[in-house]
Amino acid sequence: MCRALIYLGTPILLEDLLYKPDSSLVIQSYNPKLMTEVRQNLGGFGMVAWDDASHNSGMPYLYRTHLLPFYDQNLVNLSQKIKAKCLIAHIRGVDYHSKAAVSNENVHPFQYDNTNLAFAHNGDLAGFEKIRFDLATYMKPEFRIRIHGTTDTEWMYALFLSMLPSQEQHSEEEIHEAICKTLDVIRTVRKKHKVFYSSSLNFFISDGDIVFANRFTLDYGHYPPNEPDTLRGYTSLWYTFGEEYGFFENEYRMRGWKKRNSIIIASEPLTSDYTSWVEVPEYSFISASLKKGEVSIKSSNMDP
Amino acid sequence: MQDISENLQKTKLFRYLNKEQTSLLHSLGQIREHAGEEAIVRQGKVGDGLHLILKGKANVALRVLGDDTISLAVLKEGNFFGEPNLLTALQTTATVSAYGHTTSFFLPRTCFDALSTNMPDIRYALSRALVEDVIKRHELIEDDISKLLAKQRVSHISLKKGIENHTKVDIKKLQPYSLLQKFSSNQLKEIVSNSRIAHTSEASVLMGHRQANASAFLILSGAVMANITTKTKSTHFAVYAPNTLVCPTSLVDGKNELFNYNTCGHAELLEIPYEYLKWVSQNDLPLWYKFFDLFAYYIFDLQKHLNGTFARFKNEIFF
Repeated sequence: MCRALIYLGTPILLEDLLYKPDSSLVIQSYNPKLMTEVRQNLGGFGMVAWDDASHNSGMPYLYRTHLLPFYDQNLVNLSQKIKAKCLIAHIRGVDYHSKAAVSNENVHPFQYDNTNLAFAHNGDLAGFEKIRFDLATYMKPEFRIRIHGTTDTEWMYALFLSMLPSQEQHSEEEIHEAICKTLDVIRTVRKKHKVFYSSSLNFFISDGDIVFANRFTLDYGHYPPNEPDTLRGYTSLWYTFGEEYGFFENEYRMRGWKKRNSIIIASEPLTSDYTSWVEVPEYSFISASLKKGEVSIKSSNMDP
Repeated sequence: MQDISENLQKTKLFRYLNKEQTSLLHSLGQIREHAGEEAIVRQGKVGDGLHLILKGKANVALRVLGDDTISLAVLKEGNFFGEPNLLTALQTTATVSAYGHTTSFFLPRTCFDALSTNMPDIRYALSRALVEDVIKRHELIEDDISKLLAKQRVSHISLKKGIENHTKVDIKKLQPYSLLQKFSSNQLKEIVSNSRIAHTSEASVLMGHRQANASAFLILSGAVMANITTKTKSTHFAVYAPNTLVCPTSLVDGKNELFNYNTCGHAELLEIPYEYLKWVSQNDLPLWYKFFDLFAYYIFDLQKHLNGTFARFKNEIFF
C-alpha cells in the first residue's frame, strides 16, 4: 500500500523526517499506524530532495533503493547531512509473494530526465494489468518510451506528464488540471474495460518549489467479493504546518503560528500523537508553494 | 454520596435519568478532585471515558497545526467532555485542565459497555442526552463553517437525481456486514421485512438539507458523502464506506436535517424508513436501544469531521 511524505519550507535535516520522530517514515515501513490493511512496506525506499545550498540546486538529490531503509547505513548518513527545503520520500508496500517485483526501477518517486516534476503514489490501481496498454495510447511518445518499471505508478506518472502543456515550468493550476485529466483518462479506460473496483490514487508531486497532493479513490466502496474488511478503507492523508518542524518540548512537532514557513503532507502523521495534524478530506487536492520564505496553501474539492 | 447524586441529577446530562438510575451511575463512576491547572485529560493521549464538571471550572486548550496552545473554552458545572471515548478508544483532541480546585464525575468506557447488557435503558438515557447536545454543537459549527465557506471559491453542487429504484432485501446478502451482528437474528428479520434496498447508478441525493423524516441508510456498496450546503456554496466534509449506517438526526431531535447526503456514484444501500424507526422507538425498546448506539457512534464521528473541516477552511484558500 505504501507510505509517503512531502515537505516544503525552512531547510530541515532529512533525519528529522525520515528517522527521528516516533512514527517517522522509516518506522512506518514496519509499523504503520493508519494503513487499512495490516501490512508492512518492504518494497524499497526513495526520495527526491531539493537543497538550495547544493551545487546545481535546481537538480534534486535522488536516492532510490529496493533495500530496507532501516538497515541502510548510507541513507542514515545522508539523512544526517542533507538539509532540504523540499522533499518527497516514499516507502513502497508490495504484496507478499514471489511475483511481486521488488527492484530499484519500481521505487518511487519517479522523475524522468529533463523533467522537473517528481511523482509518487500511495495506493493501488485495480485492473492495471488489463488497462495499462490502453492507458499508453493517451501518453505522449517521449514519456511512453521512458517507462522502465512494472508499477502502476510509473505508468500514471508518464500519463500525468503527457497531460501537461509542453513547457519547462508549470503553474499550480496547470498541474491541478493535469492531475484531473489523468484521473479522467484512468476513469474512461477502466469503464471501457469494465473495471469498477475501488482504487486509491493519492499522488505526491513536486518541482522543488511547489508541492501537490491529492486524496482520491476511484469507485470507492466497490470491492471484489471475499476481499477481507481489513483491506477496505480510504487511504489516509494528513498535513501540518507552522513556523518550523523539529524536536520541541520532548516531541517532534510543528511549532509556531504567526508565520507559515513549513508544511508536511504525509500518508500518516509522523508522531503517535496526531491530534495536532489535520486530515485532508477524501476527494480533495492540496497544494503549497513557497514565496519569500512563506508557505501559501491552496485546496480544492474533487468530484468523485 | 446523596449530595453528589443530587448534583448529578441537576445536570443536563442526567436529564433523562431518574433518581435510582442516577444513583446507580454514580456508583459505577468516580468522583475526582483536581488541583488548579491539573490536566484532567491531555491532548494526544487515548481517552477512556466521559468527564462531567460537578464543581468549579476547566480550561479547554488546543494545539493544532503550528499553534502554540490556545484556549478554546472554559467549561463550567454541568458541562461534559470526552463523550466519544464512551464508545471507542480515541486520542483526546484537546487538553482540559482544572481552573482552580475542580470536582468532576468520571464514567469509564468499561462501565458504559457493561450497561448495554445489564441496563440498556440507562445507557440509552445517557446516550440520548449526549447525542442531543452533540447535535447542538453540530449546529454551531455548521454555522461557523458556512460563514467561512462564503469567503471561499467553492461552487454549489446541486444534484437532481435521487434514488433510482428499490428492490427487496435478501437477508443472506447482508451477512458480510459486521454492523448488523449487533442485532439478533429475529431483530434482523424484523428490520429486513420493514426495509428495502435502494439503488443509484450515479451520484444521487439520499437526504436533502432541511429534509424532514429522513430514512437511515446502511451502505452496502459504494460510498456516501456528507455535505454542508448554503444557497450558493457547498462542500463535503465526510465520506462513508460500506458497513456504515448513515443516520438522520431528525430521529433524535425532531428537527430537519442539517446536512445533505449523496452517493458518490453507483451505490446500493439498505434503506430503513423513518416511519419504521419511529415505530421502533416507541414500541420495541430493546431494538431501539441498539439502533441508538449506532446513531450515537455516527453522530460523534460527524463531529470529528466537522472539526477538521473548520480547521481547513480557516487556514486554506480554495480554488
